[in-house]
Amino acid sequence: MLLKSKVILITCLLILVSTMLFVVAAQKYEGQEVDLLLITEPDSYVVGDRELLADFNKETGIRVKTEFLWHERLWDRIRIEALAKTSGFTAMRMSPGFIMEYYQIGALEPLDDYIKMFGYENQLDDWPESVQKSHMSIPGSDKIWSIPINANTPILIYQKKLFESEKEKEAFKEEYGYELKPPVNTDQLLDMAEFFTRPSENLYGFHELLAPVAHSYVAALEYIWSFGGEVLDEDNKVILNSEETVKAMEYASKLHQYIPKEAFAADYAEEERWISNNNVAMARVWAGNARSYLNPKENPRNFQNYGMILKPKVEGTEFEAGQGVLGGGGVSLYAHAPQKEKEAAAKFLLDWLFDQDKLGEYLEAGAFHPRKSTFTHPKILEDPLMKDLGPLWLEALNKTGHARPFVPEASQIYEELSLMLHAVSLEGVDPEKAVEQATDKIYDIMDNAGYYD
Amino acid sequence: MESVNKTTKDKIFKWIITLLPLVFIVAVLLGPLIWSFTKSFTDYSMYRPEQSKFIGLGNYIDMLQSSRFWKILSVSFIFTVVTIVLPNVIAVFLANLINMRVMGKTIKGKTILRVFFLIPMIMSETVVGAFTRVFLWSGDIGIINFLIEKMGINPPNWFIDEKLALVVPILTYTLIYFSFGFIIFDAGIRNIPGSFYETALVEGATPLTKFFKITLPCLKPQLAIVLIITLTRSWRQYDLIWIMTRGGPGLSTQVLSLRTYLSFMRYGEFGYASALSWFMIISLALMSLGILLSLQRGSFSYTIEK
Repeated sequence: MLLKSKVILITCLLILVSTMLFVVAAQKYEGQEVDLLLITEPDSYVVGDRELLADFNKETGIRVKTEFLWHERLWDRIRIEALAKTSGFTAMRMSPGFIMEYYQIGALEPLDDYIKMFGYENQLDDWPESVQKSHMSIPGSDKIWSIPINANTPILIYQKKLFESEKEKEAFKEEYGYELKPPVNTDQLLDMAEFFTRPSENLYGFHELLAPVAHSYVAALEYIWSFGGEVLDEDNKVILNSEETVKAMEYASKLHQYIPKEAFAADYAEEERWISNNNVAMARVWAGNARSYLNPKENPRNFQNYGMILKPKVEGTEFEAGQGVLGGGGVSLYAHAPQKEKEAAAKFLLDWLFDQDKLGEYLEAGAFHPRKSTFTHPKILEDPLMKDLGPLWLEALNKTGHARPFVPEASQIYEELSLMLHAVSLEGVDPEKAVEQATDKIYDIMDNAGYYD
Repeated sequence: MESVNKTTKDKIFKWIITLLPLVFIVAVLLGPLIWSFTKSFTDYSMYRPEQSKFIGLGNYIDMLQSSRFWKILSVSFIFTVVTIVLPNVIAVFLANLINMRVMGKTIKGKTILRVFFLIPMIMSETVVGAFTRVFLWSGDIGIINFLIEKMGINPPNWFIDEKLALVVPILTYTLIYFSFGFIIFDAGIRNIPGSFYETALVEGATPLTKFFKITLPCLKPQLAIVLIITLTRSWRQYDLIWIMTRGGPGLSTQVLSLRTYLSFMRYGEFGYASALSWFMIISLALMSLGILLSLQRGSFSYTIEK
C-alpha cells in the first residue's frame, strides 16, 4: 500500500516537474516580450497564415509581425538599413540573385548555430541540391546564410488545343517534315514558334518576359547557360565572350522574331494576359507561376488547355534540358538585429520551414515551400493543380536549375546582360559584336572592383 | 536694469531659434552633401569601403568619357526640355481659357474644372504611372493604341521602340503636372487688373495681342516660379520613368537620376554616384540661374502697334 502511494506520488511529481519544464521551455521568450519583424514581399510563399502565427505566439511568446514591401523597395530597404547598421527589423526575404551583395555589406547572420540549437540539422538535405547551393550557401564560406522558402525555375508551357489539332499537325508536317509534338530541343522550338506566329490572328509562337533589367538578364543567362556558355569562371574571370554565348545570342534573336514585341517591356500581369487569353502557343514561365494558369478560379476559360514540359535542350550540349535561373529565395537573419530577437526569429523560421509536423498545416494555409517532402506530401499529391506540375517542378529544379553569379557586382553584370540581349533581339546588333561589348563592360566592372589587381 | 536683462534674454532667444534650424539644416542637408562631395573624389564602393582611395577628378573624367553618360544626359535633357515646355504651354492656355470672357460673360463651372484638372497631380506618380502604363499605353488593352487602330493606322509599340519610348513618360508627366502650372497661372491671371484688358479692348487689341502683350508679361513672376520648380522636378525625375519603362528599352529612357539611383543603390558605386549627383546639382543650379536671368531681362510695358 505504502509502495503504491510512493509510486503515485513520484509519478505525480514527475508529471508536475516535466509540465513545469515544458511550460518554462515553451514560454522561454514570453517574459522577454520578443517581437520580431520580418520584411518580405507580399507573396504566398512567405505569408504564414495569421492563425498559425497567433498559435506560434501562444506557444512560444514570440510575436511575429510582417511588413510587406514590393521587390525593389525591399532590396533598397535592406541595403539602406544594413549600411546604417540600424536594428529596424529582425529577418528578411533574401534573393539568390542578390545574396552576395547583402553578405558583402554585412547584413546577414549565419544560421548554423541556430539550426544546431533547435535540432534541425537533418532537415537541410530536404531541399534539392541545386537549391541548397543557390539559396543557402555562399562560395568561400561554409556557413548557411539563408533558408529557402521558395525555389523556382522556368519550364515551358504550351497550348494543348494547338498541339493536338489534326489540322495543325498536318500543316506542320507538310511544312517542316516532322510530327508536331511539344518541342524537345531548341531547333524544334524555333520551328514551332515560327509556325504558330500569326499576328493577323493575334497568335504568337512564343512568349517570355524580357523587360529590362529583371526579366531580360534572366533570359540572357538562360540562353548562355543552355548553349554551354558562362559569364564568369570559378576564379571570377570573365569568360562570356565564347562561341557558345554568340550562338546563344544568335538563337535568341531568331526566336524573338516570334514573340509579341510587348514582351520586351511586359511584367507578370501582362504575360498572364497573353498566355491565359491563348495568344501565345508556347511560353517560358516560372514553374511556380504555372499554377495560376492551371487554376480554374484564376483562369476559368482555359485552365485545361496547358501542357507542361522541361525547357527544350540544346543539341550537342551536356544538358538534358534547357537551363533555368534558380529563382525564389529564402529568409535570412538580419545581422544588426538585437541578439534576443535573432534567436527568436531563428526559432520561428526553423519551426516554420523545417518542422515536418507543421508542414501539413502550412500547406493547408496556402503556403508552399518547394522542398522534397513538400512535393511528395499527400496533400500535394492529391491536389489537382499540383499532381502534374509538382513532379515537373522538382525535376526542373534538379536538372535545369542554375545558380546566378556569386559576386556582389552581380546587379551591374545583370544590366550588361540585359542590354546585350536587347541589342541583338530588338536593335538587330550583330551577336558577336554585342557579346564582345558586354564582355568588355563586365571586365571593366570586375576590374574596377579589384578582382584583377 | 530689468529692461537690459530682458533685451539680453530676447537676443539669446533669437539666437537660439535661429541656430536650432541652422544646426538641423547643417546636420541633415549639408552633412550628406559634404559627405557625397568628398566621396565623389574617391572610388568608394559599398562592397569594399576599406579599399576606397582618393582618385581626384577620376569619377568626373570617367563620367565625361563614357558614351553611356552622354546618351543618358541627352535623354535627361530631352525629357526636361519637353516636360518644361509642354505641360506649361497647356497650363497657360487652359488658365487663359478658363478666365476668358466670352460675350462679356465668364465661363461657367470654373471651380469644377479647376478641381478636375488637379486630380492627376494629387495622385501618386507611381499610381498614375502604373495605371496609365496599362490602360493608356499598353499594346494589347491600351486606349491609345485602340484609337490609333480605329483610325486605320498601325499602332506603335510604345515601350519597345527606342524612338518612341520616351514619349510615354513625357506625356504621362504632362498629364500629371500641367495642373501645377495651371494653378499658379490661373491665380496670376486673376490678379491682372481688368483695366489693362479694358484699355486694350478700347484700342482694338485682338485676343492674341492681349495674351502676348498683357497676360504673358504679367505672368513673369509666376512663370519664373513654375519654370524653376518644373525644371527641378523634371531634371531629377525618377519615379515615373522607373515605374513605366525601367529606363528601357536599352538606355532609351534612362535619365541621370535613374542612373544615379542605380549606381548608388544597386551597384554600390558611391564614389561614381556622388560625382553624378554633383553634376546634376551644378547643372541644375546653372540652368535655374539661366532661367532667372532671362526672365529678369526686360520690363513690362503695354503698347499697341498700329
